[in-house]
Amino acid sequence: MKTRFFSSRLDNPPYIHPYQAYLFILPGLIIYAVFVLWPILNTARYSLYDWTGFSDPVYIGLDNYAELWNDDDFWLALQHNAFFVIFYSILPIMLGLFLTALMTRRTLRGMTLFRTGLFIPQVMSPVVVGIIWRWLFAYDGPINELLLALGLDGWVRPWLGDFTWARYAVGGVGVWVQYGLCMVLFIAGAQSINTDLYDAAAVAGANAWQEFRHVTLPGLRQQILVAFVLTFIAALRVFDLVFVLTRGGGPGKETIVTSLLIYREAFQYNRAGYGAAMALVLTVIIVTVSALVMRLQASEEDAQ
Amino acid sequence: MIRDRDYRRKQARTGLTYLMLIIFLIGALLPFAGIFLTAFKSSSELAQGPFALPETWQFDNFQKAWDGARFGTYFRSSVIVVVPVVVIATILSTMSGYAFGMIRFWGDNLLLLLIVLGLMVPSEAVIIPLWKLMGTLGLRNTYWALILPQVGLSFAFGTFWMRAHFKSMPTELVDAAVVDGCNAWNVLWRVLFPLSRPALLSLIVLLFMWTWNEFFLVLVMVTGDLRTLPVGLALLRGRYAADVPVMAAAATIVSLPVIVMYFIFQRHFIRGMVSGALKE
Amino acid sequence: MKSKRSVILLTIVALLVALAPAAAQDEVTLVVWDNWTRDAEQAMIEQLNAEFEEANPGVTIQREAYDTSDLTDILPLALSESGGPDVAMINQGFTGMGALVEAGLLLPLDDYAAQYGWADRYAEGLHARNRFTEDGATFGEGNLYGVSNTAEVVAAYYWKSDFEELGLSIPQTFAEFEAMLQTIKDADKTPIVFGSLDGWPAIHTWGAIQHAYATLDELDAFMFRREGGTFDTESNLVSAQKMVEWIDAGYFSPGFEGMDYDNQTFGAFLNHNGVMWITGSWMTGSIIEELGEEEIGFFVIPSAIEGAPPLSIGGVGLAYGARATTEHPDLAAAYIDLVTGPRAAELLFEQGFLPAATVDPALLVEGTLTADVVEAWNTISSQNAVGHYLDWTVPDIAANIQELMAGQVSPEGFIQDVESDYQAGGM
Repeated sequence: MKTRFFSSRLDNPPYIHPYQAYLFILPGLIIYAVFVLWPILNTARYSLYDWTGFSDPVYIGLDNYAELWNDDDFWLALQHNAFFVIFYSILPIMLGLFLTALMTRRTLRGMTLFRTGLFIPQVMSPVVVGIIWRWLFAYDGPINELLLALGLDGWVRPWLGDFTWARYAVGGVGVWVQYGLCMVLFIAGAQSINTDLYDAAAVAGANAWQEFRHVTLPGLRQQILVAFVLTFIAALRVFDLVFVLTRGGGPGKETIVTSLLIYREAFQYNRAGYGAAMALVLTVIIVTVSALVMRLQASEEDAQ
Repeated sequence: MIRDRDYRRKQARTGLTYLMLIIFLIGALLPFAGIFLTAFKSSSELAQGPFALPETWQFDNFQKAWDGARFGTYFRSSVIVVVPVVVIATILSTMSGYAFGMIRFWGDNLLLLLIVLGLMVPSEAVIIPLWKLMGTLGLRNTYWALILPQVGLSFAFGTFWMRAHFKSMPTELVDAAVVDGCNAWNVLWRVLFPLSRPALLSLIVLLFMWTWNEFFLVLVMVTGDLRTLPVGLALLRGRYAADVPVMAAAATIVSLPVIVMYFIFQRHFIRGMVSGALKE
Repeated sequence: MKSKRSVILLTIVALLVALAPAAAQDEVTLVVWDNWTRDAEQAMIEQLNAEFEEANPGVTIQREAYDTSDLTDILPLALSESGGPDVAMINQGFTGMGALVEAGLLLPLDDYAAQYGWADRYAEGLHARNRFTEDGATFGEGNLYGVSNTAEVVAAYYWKSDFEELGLSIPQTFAEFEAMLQTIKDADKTPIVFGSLDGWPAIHTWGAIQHAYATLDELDAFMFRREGGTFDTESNLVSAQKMVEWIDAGYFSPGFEGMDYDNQTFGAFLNHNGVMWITGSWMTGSIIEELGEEEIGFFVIPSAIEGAPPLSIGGVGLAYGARATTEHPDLAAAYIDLVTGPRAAELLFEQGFLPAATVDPALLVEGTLTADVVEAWNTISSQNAVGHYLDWTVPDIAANIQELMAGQVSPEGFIQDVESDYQAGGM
C-alpha cells in the first residue's frame, strides 16, 4: 500500500477524536514555531542576501547558491560528511545493538555500572574528548606504541596529521562518542518489549542469536529509526568533534565538513548570507534522506 | 548429567558476556580515567601522558576551576536553565508524541517532518536570526533567551522519540487498561504515562545532557552571571595555550551531574520497571 | 487592606523619587569586553578597573571576559546594536577590524590619540596595524580604531644547557642558524620542537623562515594589499623549499604533523625533547611558571639577507577600541588610555607579558628569560623589523602549509595556491 503524507485512514479508538491530536501538539508547537522555526525561515531568507550578519542585507537573488555550486571546498566537505555517516551513524547503531543484546536479556551483577560506564563517552565535553584523543593518536602515543608492540611498525604514523588516515581517526572517535546515544535509546526500547515474547521464544528453544533476531530486533524498529535519523543528522551536522580534533579541518582540507565552513563563513569571514545558503542546502539533503527513511519505514508498517 | 552440561554452558556464556562488556567498558572509561588523572597534575607533567600518575595529587586545580572560573555561579545558571527546559519539554513532547504515535489525523507525517526539521538545520546558521529575534522581544541577556529555544529544540527531539515509543508499545496493553468512559487525556496520563518510564527517563537524561552541555547559544545570548558551565569551561582556554589540568578538573565537574543522573535512573527506576508493570 | 497596600506603594514611589536625583548624577556603567581569562590576568585587569573607578567617581566598569576566538566571533553582533560593549578588544586584519569599520561599528580614535598623546606609546609602523580607511577597504592607513597594550614577537626559545654542551652561541646570520640545526641533529637531538596539528603554529614556523628571506616592503605590500602586493615572490618560493628541506633533514619533532600546541608541543619543549622552539613571546609567562627564569633563553632569528635587520613575525596584540554608538565616548577613551598606558604596562610586565609600551630598563635582570624577550622585541621594533601574521590576509594559509609539508603540493604549487586565494580576496 502506498503511503501518503496525508493519511486518510482515521481509524482511531472510540475514545479519541482526531482533532484532539492537534490540541495535544499545539502547546509545544507554538514555542517551537516561534523560537526554532521562525529563525530557520529567516535563515532561508538571508540566504538570498549579501549580508555580513551585522550589516544591512542586500538582496542578490540566487547569487549565493550560484557561488556555492562552484565552491570546491563545499563539495569536498559534503563528501566528508557522507563518509562520516558510516562512523557516526551505521557503526554506532550496530555497536549499540550489540551492547543492548548483551545487557538486556541477562540479569548480571553490576549491570547499572556497565550501562553507566558505557554511556560516559557520550557525556564528556567535546573539548576534553579532543585533548584525550589527540594524545592517544600522537606519534609517541599509546596507539602507536601498541602497534610497535604488535610488530606493526609500518602502521605507525601521526594519525590526525596524516593526509590519508586523519579522516579515519576522526571517524573512529565518532564511533566512540556516538554509540552511547544509540545504546541508551535501545536499552529504553528493549525494556518496553513485551516479556511474553521472550518467554515464547524460550519455549520454542531459540538460541541467543535467534532470540535477538526474532524478538529484540523487531521490537526495536522504532528506536532504530530514531537512532538512525538522529545519528544521520549528527553526521551531516558534525562540528564540535572535528573542531577539537583537527581544528580547522586539517591536515590541509582532509577533514573539513560543512558545518565548519558554515561557522567560518558566518562568524569569521563575515559572510552570514553565504553561510545561510550553505546551511539550507545541507538541510535539504538531510530532510530528503530522513523523509525517505521515515516513509520507507511507514510503508513497511502498512505492509504488515 | 544433561542439566549439568546446560548449566555449564550457561555459565560459560555469562562469562563471555562479562568479558566482552569489560573490554568495552575499558575502552569507554580509559580516556575518562586519563582526564581524571590529568586533573590532579601540574602542566609540566602533561607530556608524560594522561595515564602517568601525578607526582603529587594537586587538588588546587579543582579549587581554581571552582573559584577562579566562577564555577559556583555558572553552576547555578546551568540549573536554572536546565530544569525548566527538561520539565517543560518532557511534558509537551509526551503529549505530542502520544498524538503522533497513537492518533491518526490529517497531515500527521507532514507536521512531524516540520517538527523534526528543527533538529536538521545546522545551528551555526540559525543563531544570528535567533539573536535578532531575542533582541526584538527584549529577551536577550535573560534566562528566557536560553530556555525558550532549547524547549523548542527539545520538543522536536522529544516528539520524535516519544512517538517512536508509543508506536512500539504493545496495543493490547493499552486496550486492556482502557476503562469505559476514559478520554484521550486520561489514557495518556493515567494509563500510558506510568508504562512509559524507560522511554521517559532516557528522554530526560538526553535532554538534560544536551541542555547542560549547550555552548554556542549561551555564549551568544547572555553575558556575566547568566552564563552556564560550558561557557565557563571555554574561558579556561587562554589566548594561545590552555591550562590543561585546570580544564580537566573543570571538565570533570561539568560531566559528573549527567553521569550520576544516568546511574541513579538506571539503578532505581528502570530496574523496578522491568520486573514491574510489563510482566504482570 | 487595599489602602494599606497603596500607602506602601506610595512610600516606595516617594522613596524612589527622593533617591532618583542622587542616583542619576553621573551614575555611569561602562561595559568592557576583553580576553583576560586566566587568574593572574584577571587580577591585573581588575586592579586597573578599580583604579579607573576610583579616578572617575560614579563610574562602574562592567567587565565581560571571553576566550579570544569566541570574542572575535561574536563581537560584531554585539557592537551592531545598542547595549553592546562600550569598549572591546578587537582583532586586527580585514576580517576583524576591517569588517567592523566597513559596517561603521567602531569609533575613530584620532582626536583622542592627539589628546592623550598615544602616538608616543609605540612606533607609528605599529599604530598602522590598527588603522583602516573609513570604508574598511584599505588596511594600514586612515583612521586609528584601536590601541594595543601588548606586543608579540615570534622567535626561538632555547635550552641554555644544550647550547653550552654543544658549544653553540646565538647565531648572527641565517647560515649560522642553519649550521646550528645540523650540529644539533648530529648530536642526536631534535633541533626544533614543532607541532602542526592546530594549523596556526605552522604559519609561525614557516613564517619564521619566510621572514628571514623577505623584506618588510614586500610583506607590507602583501599584508595591506597595496599595489604590487603578491604572494608569488622569489623569497616565498625559497622559504617554501627551505621548509621542505628542513623536514627532510629531520630538524623538526618526529610526528610533528599530529602534535597539538597547548599540550604536546609545549609539553615536549618543557620536557626537553628538543633544543629550540620557534613560537611567540606570549609563552614566556607559562614557561617561567614551569621552569623559572634561568634555564631558557630567547633570540630572534637572523635575516638571510646580508646586513638586513632580523625581520620577525610580530606586532601588537588585540587592540582596545570603542563602539561607534557608545553614549560615553570620552569615558571610553579615558579607559583605553589607562589600560594601554604606563601603569598597565607595569602590571602586564609583572605577569610575564610583553607590553607594547617601552619597559623601564631598570626592571630588567640580566640573564633572565624576561630580559631576553624584552631585548628581542626592542631589537626588532627599533630597527623597523616587525613582520606580519599571514593569516590576517589569507586566513586559510595554514592548510596550504600543511599540504606543502606533507608533500601534497610542490613549493611552486603552494605559491600558486596561496596566490590564487589572495587574488580571490583571501577566502
